[in-house]
Amino acid sequence: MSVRAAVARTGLVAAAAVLLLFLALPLAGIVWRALTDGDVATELGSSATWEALQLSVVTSTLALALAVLLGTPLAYLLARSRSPAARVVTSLLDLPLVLPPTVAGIALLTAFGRAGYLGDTLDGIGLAVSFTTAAVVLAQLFVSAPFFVRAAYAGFASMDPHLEGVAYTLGLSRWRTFRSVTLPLVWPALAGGAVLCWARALGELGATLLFAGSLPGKTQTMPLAILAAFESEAGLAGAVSLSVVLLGFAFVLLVALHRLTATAGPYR
Amino acid sequence: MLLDRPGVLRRAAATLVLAATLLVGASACGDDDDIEIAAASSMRHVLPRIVEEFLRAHPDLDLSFELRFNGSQVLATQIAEGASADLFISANAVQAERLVDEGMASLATVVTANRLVLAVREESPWYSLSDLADGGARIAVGSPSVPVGRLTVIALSQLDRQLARELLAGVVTEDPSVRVVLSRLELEEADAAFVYHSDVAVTHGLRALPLPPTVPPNEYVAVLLEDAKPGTEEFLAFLLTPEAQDLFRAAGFLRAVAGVRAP
Repeated sequence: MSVRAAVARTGLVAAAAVLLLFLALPLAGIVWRALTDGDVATELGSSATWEALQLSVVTSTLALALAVLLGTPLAYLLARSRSPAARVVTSLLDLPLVLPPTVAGIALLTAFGRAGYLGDTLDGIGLAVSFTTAAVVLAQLFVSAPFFVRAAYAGFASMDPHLEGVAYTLGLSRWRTFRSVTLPLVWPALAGGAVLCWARALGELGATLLFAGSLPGKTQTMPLAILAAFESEAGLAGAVSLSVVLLGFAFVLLVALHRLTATAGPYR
Repeated sequence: MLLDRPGVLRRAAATLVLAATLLVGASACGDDDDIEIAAASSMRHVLPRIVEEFLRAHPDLDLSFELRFNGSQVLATQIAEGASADLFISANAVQAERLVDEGMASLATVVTANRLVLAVREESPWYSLSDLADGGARIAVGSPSVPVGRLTVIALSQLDRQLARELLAGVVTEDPSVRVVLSRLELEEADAAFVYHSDVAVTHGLRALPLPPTVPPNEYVAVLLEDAKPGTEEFLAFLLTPEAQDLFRAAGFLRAVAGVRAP
């Protein structure tokens, strides 16, 4: 290896190591703090913890399902459209990510809340959502869907659309083309976007608090339970213990999701 | 020459801009001589007025203040983790006293107190607790883990049992701070909220339904932190003077009754 290549490689590794350490050290810190100060075992044994964890898993999975079901068509249409309107919509997709989550919660209330401009309509058809578990899902969907749609859009846009044309000329139906030509090509993008989307939904705090409230068993997800613990006398020790439970749980799920999408993907 | 290469010039310019940004950022962080007060969010409106009054009363002292407001738990955690502060005014006596127990602070002093009320919007049709219970109102409360929520539990336990049960059935959220509880009324998502009297005093369009007078007030405890700057102790003493107590009262707080707490 030439000196130049060696220097370049060292630089590459150094840059990667700096970021990796920056991301890993706080996580290691919170685990260490929980093991020394906190009481992870007690939290794991408490039914309140499991209640919050269960609510978190159910709501974030529902949010992910909605994002995939509704977001895939949206991303596909945007990526295939040549109209200027589609380009504007695509750039607006990231806006929910820019909003501080608390503001996102207020924004949801201004539309779907009781005093929101759709509030009376929703109330009239018996769909008042604020302070319900449905509101938790909607808050998570609002902040996490852009992650999925953005990734799916990148997948569809980077694919050569002529391949679909070729499939049509060979007599494949639209659905068959999508399933056997398009989907296998964009699968990694969809899977990556889904993981990001789910992780963001699982960690959602601010929008959920404002839009759905915080009631144990109904709307108090794990992040909200951590916030409640932090504000309590148990304070930091209780909050870090619960955080480590959430982290450990998310870690297991993320590893499982990665393996699932990498090996059990239907098109590998 | 080295400087002939445009990349070098551009990088130098970028470095200069970065350095300037850092310098401006550092200097914006306030004077090192400022007396730093970390205070509970509910003090946001009244404390600047008290500081002003203190400076007017002591023209001889050359002091300046930096006020920081947040939830008491957040502030206590920041201080315990090494954030600098000279005086900490906590809405949660337990947290302030924990700092004293750990040897990080001294002179725990009750400086004021706040009464729990059930707030409703001015135009709402409710004038008593039983009106609310009958009307199926949506009620926001603080989480039992925070002082306002703990007081709410006490208040409900002192009501008629049937009434308390009906009110509890209307609870839609247990919020992590009194600020969030109050926002439920402001955003019109809830019909009533258990908050402090001082919150109603500074928020437009709200009125308070009375609760049993036996519900204890929430005390605000100030502690002097280790190595507090000169003048901090004088300010702490000033908080108990009639001038400061009048300002507290005008802002909806109660007069301090207990004074210095036994260590």
